[in-house]
Order: sequence, then structure tokens, then C-alpha cells
Amino acid sequence: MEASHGTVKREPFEDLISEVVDLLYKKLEADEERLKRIVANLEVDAETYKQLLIKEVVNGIYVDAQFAFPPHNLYTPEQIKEKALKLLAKKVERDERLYTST
Amino acid sequence: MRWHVFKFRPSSHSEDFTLIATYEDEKAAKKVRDALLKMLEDMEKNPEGYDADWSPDEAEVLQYGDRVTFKVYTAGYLDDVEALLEKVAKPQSVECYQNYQEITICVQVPKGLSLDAAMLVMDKEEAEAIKWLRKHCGEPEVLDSGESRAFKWDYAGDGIYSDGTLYLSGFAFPVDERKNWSVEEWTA
Repeated sequence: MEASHGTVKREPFEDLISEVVDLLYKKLEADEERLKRIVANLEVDAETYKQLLIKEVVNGIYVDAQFAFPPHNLYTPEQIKEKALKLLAKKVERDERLYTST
Repeated sequence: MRWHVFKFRPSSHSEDFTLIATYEDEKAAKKVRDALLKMLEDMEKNPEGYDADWSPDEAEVLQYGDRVTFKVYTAGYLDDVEALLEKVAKPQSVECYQNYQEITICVQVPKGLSLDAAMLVMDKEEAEAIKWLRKHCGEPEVLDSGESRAFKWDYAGDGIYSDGTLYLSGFAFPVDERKNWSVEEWTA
């Protein structure tokens, strides 16, 4: 379908990326206390910290997300979300080691 | 409103990457340097915790004044480093270069000739090169000596000089074939 004048047609993978971003935000919001301990040792506020983490995770799944739709179908959207959550957990663990231990 | 800017850098081939972050003061830069060194130590102990195609002993961390430099040979796996540069202190700027070079480029002309006049008497390739240098490095320093005049540009950024040739936005300019041109490299 043609995009109407003045609008940008979104690719299916872009919708998936948006879903992943929302999923990651929810996960981080549920981990508020843990994040507070990390951010206490950083120069950024909690919101910026979340954005930086999500940016890192999205970078890590961006290409795979493009291959989760026809004609490729190399992954399912669920697999991409699962990978994103695992990556987020890894990044938070890294930051705990780096910024909460003395 | 939530916003995100993301990019995908890793590619199929590796190059020397240089990240240069500038902070408000030396204190902030030292804090970032220490955090980078701690991260490299952590990478040794927990390599699975990082998305990198390089090992910590291949990386170089330098701090001078308010500036922190991180160098490594990679296909672009720098997310862990970039994230740290932005988190530990608020950077005024973070620049990423491939095959970073600091070079000085000189062209000699007869004394008294202005750069605009020199461009008219030089051949087309030389004029193109000067046009590029003016655009990317600004107006040159003018050095008069004896009967000659030299125009000098200092350049710092992605690698543009290799094996006697300047690569200026797709245009190859073999400076080593021209006696009136010279390039001095400050960093490899």
C-alpha cells in the first residue's frame, strides 16, 4: 500500500523495534531499585540512563529484527524480543559490576 | 515523550577506531579514564558480558586535559565503550573516527601568490585538493620563506592519507608525485 502524502510508511520491523523498546522500558521500570543503585554512581539521571541502555540493546538486535519478516523469516518476533531481554539483562549486570562495586 | 536514536555500526571488516570524548574539565576526564580502565579489567574477567570482537589488551586509553581517547581495532563493536563515555560524566562531545590521523599538509607556491591566484595557475587536481582542504580544514596558515610561500593545513579526523596519496571524498590525489606538496603524519 502506498503511503499517503506527508506520512512515512513504517516497515514491519520498525513496529517490532517499537514493541521491543516498550518491553524494555517496562522491564526497567520493574527494576527501579536496582537501577537507582547504578545511577547513584553516574552523572546521568535515571531516564537518560534507561535511554542509553535501550539504545545499546536496540543496536544489538536491529539487524536481526529486519530479518524477522518476509521474505527472510530467519527469526520470529518473539525470538527477537527474547534476545533483547537477554541483552538488557547482560547490560544491567555489566553496569552493576562497573558502577556499584568499589 | 520517549525518543531513541540508534545506529548499527558493526561491519564485515575491521579498522582502527578512535573515540575522542571531551568533558567539562580534567577531573571529569580522569574519572572517565579510570572507568574505562576498570571496564577493561572487567572484560578480562567477564568477556561474555560484552559485545566485542576485540580483547582488552588490544585497547588503548589515553587522557590528556579534558579529553579522553579510546583506540581499538574492531569491526565497530564499540557500544559498551560509547555507553560508558556518556554515562560516567556528561561529555561535551564524542567523536568517532576510522583510522584516525593527525597530519599537516603543505603546498609551496611562488612568494606573493594568494591562495585564490595559486588555484588558478595550478592544475585541476591541485585546485580540487585545495578546495577540499579549505572546506574541511579552513583557511591555511601562510608561511613565507625566501622566494617561496607555503600554505599549511592541519587535519585531524578519519584517515585520508595512505602510501603517498590523499583520499579526499573519493578523489585520489597522489601528493608524493608532486614536488611542491608534502604531508607530515603526526599519528598513525
